[in-house]
Amino acid sequence: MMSKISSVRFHPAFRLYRYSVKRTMGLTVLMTVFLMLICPGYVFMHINHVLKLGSTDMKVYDLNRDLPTLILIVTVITTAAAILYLFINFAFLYGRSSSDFFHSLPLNRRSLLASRFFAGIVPVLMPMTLTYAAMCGLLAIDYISGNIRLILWGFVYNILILLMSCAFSMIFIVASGSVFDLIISFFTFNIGIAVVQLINQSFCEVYLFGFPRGEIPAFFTNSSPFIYAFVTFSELMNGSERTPADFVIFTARLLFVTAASLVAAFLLYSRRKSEKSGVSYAYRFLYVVCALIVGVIGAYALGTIFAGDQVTPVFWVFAVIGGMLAAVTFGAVNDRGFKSFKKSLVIGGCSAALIGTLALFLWSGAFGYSSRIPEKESVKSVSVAFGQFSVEFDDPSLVIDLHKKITEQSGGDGYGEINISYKLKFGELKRTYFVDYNDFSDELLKIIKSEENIENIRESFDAFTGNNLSLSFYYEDDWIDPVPITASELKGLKEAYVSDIPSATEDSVEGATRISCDITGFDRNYDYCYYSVYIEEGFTNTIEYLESLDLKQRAVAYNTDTTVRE
Amino acid sequence: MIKSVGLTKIFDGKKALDGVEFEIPEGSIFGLVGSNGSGKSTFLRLAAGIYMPDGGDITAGGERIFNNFALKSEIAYVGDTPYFLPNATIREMARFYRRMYPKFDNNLYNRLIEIFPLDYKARIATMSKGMQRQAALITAIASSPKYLLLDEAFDGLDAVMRKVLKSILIEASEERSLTTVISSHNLKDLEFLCDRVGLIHLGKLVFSDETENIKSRIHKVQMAFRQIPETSVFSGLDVVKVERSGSIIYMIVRGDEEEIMRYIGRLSPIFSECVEPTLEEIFVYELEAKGYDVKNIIS
Repeated sequence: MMSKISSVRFHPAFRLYRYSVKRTMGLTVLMTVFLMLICPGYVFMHINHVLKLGSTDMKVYDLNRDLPTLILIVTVITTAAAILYLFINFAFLYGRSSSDFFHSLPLNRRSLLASRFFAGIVPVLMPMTLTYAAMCGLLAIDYISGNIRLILWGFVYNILILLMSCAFSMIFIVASGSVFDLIISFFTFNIGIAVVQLINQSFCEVYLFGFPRGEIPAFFTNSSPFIYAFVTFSELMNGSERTPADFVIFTARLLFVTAASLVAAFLLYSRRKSEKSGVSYAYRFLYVVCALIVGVIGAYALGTIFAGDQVTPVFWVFAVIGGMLAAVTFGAVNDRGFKSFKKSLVIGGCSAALIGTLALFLWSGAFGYSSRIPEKESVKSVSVAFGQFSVEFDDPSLVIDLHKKITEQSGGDGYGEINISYKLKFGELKRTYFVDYNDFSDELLKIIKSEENIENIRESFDAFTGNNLSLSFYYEDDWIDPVPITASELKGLKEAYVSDIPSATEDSVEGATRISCDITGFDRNYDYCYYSVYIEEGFTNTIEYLESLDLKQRAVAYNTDTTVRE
Repeated sequence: MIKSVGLTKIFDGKKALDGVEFEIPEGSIFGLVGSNGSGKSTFLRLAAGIYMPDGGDITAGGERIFNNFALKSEIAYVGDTPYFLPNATIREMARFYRRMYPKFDNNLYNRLIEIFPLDYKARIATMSKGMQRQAALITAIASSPKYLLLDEAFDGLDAVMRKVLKSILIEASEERSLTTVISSHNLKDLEFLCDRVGLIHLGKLVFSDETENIKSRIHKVQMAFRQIPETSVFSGLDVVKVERSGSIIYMIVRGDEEEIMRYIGRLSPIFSECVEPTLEEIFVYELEAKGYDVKNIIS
């Protein structure tokens, strides 16, 4: 039988890639329409709406204020779509017959992985590029202004974040054995790891002496590549204090995670047994990691619900029960039964043991974390904040003395918060302590009476322009309503107050002051600002000056006579 | 030639294949028989490069199959449950195969779609099991592979289609030197098709040989005597099994047919004849002789 052989050029991986792209074409068109509706659609309508409603002198819309949010939304949508495409493209791994079919095709594992991977990413690039082109197009309209460089940077980082997210997702895709377990493990890890870091933060606050408060800890931001990418991207797009180094570090980290994830995914896939299709996990490590995460969350949740306080034995009893319950439940969901009941129990116990070990580690000072005080020579500057005072020093001696005393006494118990933040030659060091201010009154008074604090107070007064100044104060259980004051009166108050600072006593440290004043007004940038002044009994200069201003009478007159107000 | 040396595959600690050694010559049709779970499908998946061996090796034309892109373009595999692309018709599947397999033969495909009476525009997923298998066979054969691996190929096919498939495979073997490995737990399907047959049981190869050799070394003899002789008179023969029904003796004997009949002739039977046993019978006798529990091996 003579046969005519097909004359089609032969590139199986490319052919498979084209087939995969075509298969998701419908979804791609839908996504294009959706993204076009957001930008330029919604954005254009919004701009015109704002310009129509805005004041008559508003002729130009500044798109820059919307661009960071817009770029972030487009990045989230395109990244989610690319991951969804990957889930679709690699679904063949999870069915026996489909796995046999694709693995019998004339492709090696590397080309099969590459063709399906790029078939998940490339279709997303088209609507994404169109959206960014539309953003640039909006800037071409004469009544819309904006920074095209911001859009271009957004486009570049969108691609980098999309690539990194897809590469990292590939580890879950390859290590899972079924679609159900892929979804479970993907969300368990990426959401669970963030929750675990919140638990970690909670433990640090309870057990780790000196752990700084009031900001998102770095270990939370770095817990998952997704969290890191989106949080950092958002900060860089919105932040005013971004430096080129921040962008370089962000880019390098994204590229590193992308490369490492792709290598890991490829190595896992090249060793992945085809017969694992349909089972829960092709690689058991993913199950163990996820079960540990679930166990930690379960342990913390049950311990907190039943004990509340993490330092009680009851907490730990319920933590062990919670860890085991959570891990067994997770195991039962993954195994569709209780086949691995004993293993799950062990994993749950390990989860509770992990947080127990963490608590012990933190309680023991975390390898000197709690007692670490930087050398004076290594400090560029330090700021200390307690009560109503916040002072920055170039010479850290006073703060180091205070810091030493706190660590020597292990802080003691108290509700007085002291925040210390060192800017070091290499990095920074932040600590928060809760102490009884009385135990450290000498050191704190030195800080209050320091030249730096006095200068700081002067700067706070000087921040006000002379316009729209007003002063209200709390005086012996009596509240005086805001009274307009003049710039010269403010200057007089400043001089009186500054002259009294050297005679400050423990009352200032403890905040037990007789009078407190709130000064409100505008700064040089026309932004609203205020400053609170705490005046103790011995601040005679300040008290006399305030009395000389006759503020009580002026307040009554101002608040009853509308002509005065006008 | 497809050759396996010490081929081992382990699933969850259990050996699905245990040191299997095969040699399947080029252009032959090789029948792989065994009960359910014996390891036939596992062997075919290893031969298709789907599974990676846990021990030993499997090669085709002297090259390792797993992850061998060039070699796999010459191997077509049809699994026991054929897979089709979502919502695909036969034409779409053919288009896909045409793109993936460099030697896809359009003429052969056109000929096959004339032979198999299917609706080529209908979604394959809506077709019956037998029709789906026909669709899978059409695309696999049309991709002009050098090695065709068919797992339970006759499953779901009616008698006519079985015959058609057999003739297509024989023709391809003769004209294109196609090497076919076809697994079945039903020996009747392979009876007049395979050049060689191998039997796998519990992951181990029981035996493998040319069909003619297997058939020529065992014979079914029936004979009648005026006076039934003692069994000891047959001691000169390699008797596998003897059964008596009245004055007729049925005997399964190993050895050369002429020598057997000459030996029996010397015993002056009223009549004697040598009947060719079926492949299934041969396997049963051979296995029983080797001490296997036959009922559990061949269904």
